[in-house]
Amino acid sequence: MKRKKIILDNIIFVLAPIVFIIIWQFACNYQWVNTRILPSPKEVFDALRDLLATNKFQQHLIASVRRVALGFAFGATAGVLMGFLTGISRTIDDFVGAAFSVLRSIPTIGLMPLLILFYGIGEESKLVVIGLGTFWSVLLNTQQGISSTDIKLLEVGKMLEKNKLTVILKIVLPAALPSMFTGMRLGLSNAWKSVVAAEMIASVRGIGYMISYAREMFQTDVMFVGLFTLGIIGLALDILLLQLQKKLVFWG
Amino acid sequence: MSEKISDNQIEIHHVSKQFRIDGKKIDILNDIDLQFKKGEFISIVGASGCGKSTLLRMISGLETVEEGDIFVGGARVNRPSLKTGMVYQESRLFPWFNVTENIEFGVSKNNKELSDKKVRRKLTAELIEFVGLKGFEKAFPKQLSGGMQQRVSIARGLINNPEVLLLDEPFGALDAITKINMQNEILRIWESEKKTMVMVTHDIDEAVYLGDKVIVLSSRPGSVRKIINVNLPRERDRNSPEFAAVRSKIYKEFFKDAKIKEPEYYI
Repeated sequence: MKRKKIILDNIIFVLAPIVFIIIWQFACNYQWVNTRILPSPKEVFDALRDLLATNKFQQHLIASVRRVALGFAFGATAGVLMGFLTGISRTIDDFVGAAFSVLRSIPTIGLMPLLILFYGIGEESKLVVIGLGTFWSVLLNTQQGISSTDIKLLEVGKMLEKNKLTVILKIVLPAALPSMFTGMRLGLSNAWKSVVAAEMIASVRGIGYMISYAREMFQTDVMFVGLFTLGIIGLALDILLLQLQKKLVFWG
Repeated sequence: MSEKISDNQIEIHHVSKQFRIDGKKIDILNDIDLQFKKGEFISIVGASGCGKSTLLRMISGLETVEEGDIFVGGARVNRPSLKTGMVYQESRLFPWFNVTENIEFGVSKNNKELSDKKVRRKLTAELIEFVGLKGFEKAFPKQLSGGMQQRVSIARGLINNPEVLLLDEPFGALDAITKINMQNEILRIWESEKKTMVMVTHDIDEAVYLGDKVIVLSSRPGSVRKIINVNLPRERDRNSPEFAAVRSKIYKEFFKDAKIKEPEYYI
């Protein structure tokens, strides 16, 4: 009975999008919708094939992924380090706490015009936006993870006369790891969203630019290629991190 | 006060303790004065909140001693040391360490004998066998039953070869059958290692079964109400009339103020 239910669930999971695409195709074929605004699945697929053939899609995708990878790496590293420093030292937390609270509330994409003034429209401004998008969620979740370390385990460390470094590396760090991963997953999702926004504002390459340029050219099919790409890559990145988490946080 | 006072393993001299909660002073322990001999098994019983765990934590050095003095092996206690090992009610194992790593983590940095990795490994393996966990060296805590986790915790408490092993309601979270097994297990360890053991419990049956002496604490602020010597040969029969007599004596002390009738069944 239970097995049957699982199989049925899986079938529905795969079948539902296929049915959706078929209905969409029919809707376009029979002109139930305005095909100038909503391209048919076939047109979207053809657009993707053309973009792949001219290598344009690959260039845009690589540009975006590269920015996200770099920005995320910087942001996550800074977030973990800063999260640990503020989580461990009361003084450092007090010192940066107020400033962080204000800065955190600024939507990172709102900084884009200022960053363009600072860095021009080159890579730096985008990396800073992506890095910040990652930084805040990694920072907050790292702090949260550290402060939620089981006091009872810390007491064991005290009883066993462990020095501070051992306590941090062997007790606090593993205890905070699940939260840090939550932060990184949110951060990566933010990074992916920020890169698109940043590319729409100022760029000549990237999936965000591709979508924004397609709007100017009224190529709705290309826009859909871009949007689906964003969704699928975003999901793939999240799954990747989730798998890494399962590997590293094996006791959870 | 001089370092060496007597041959007693643990000396507790007029110890009182207060906690500050919301600015209010609350008396936890009042003028505790006790001496435990080397190799004794001491049970401390008392109602919940009587400060028995606090007393144990003060002996371990985790809690500060402000009024009075506590000596372990002749030295005044002011912080945790190699001389005392501790086993908690919740096994308090690190979920990210396997059995071997958890036990090895118990090695104090001040333990010169175990600074060599090979020696440490060998002793850990021996301890794992000693507590009956051979074959589970690489298992993680979540893969172990409650009783097995507690065995790991006991092995960790023993690795520095402490003079004193403190047990804070060690079997309180186990089911009845596992509890009896573990009580016999700790007796076996006590008999073969000849350590002084101090166990806090609220299980009177357990206190009598294991202890040479049972210290009955009054409710808050905890003070020594009675010290009962259990002069019964081991292995003790929980159903013998002699056992029942001691148990009954403790029950009477326990419920002196409250008019609660002694229950007919135990465990």
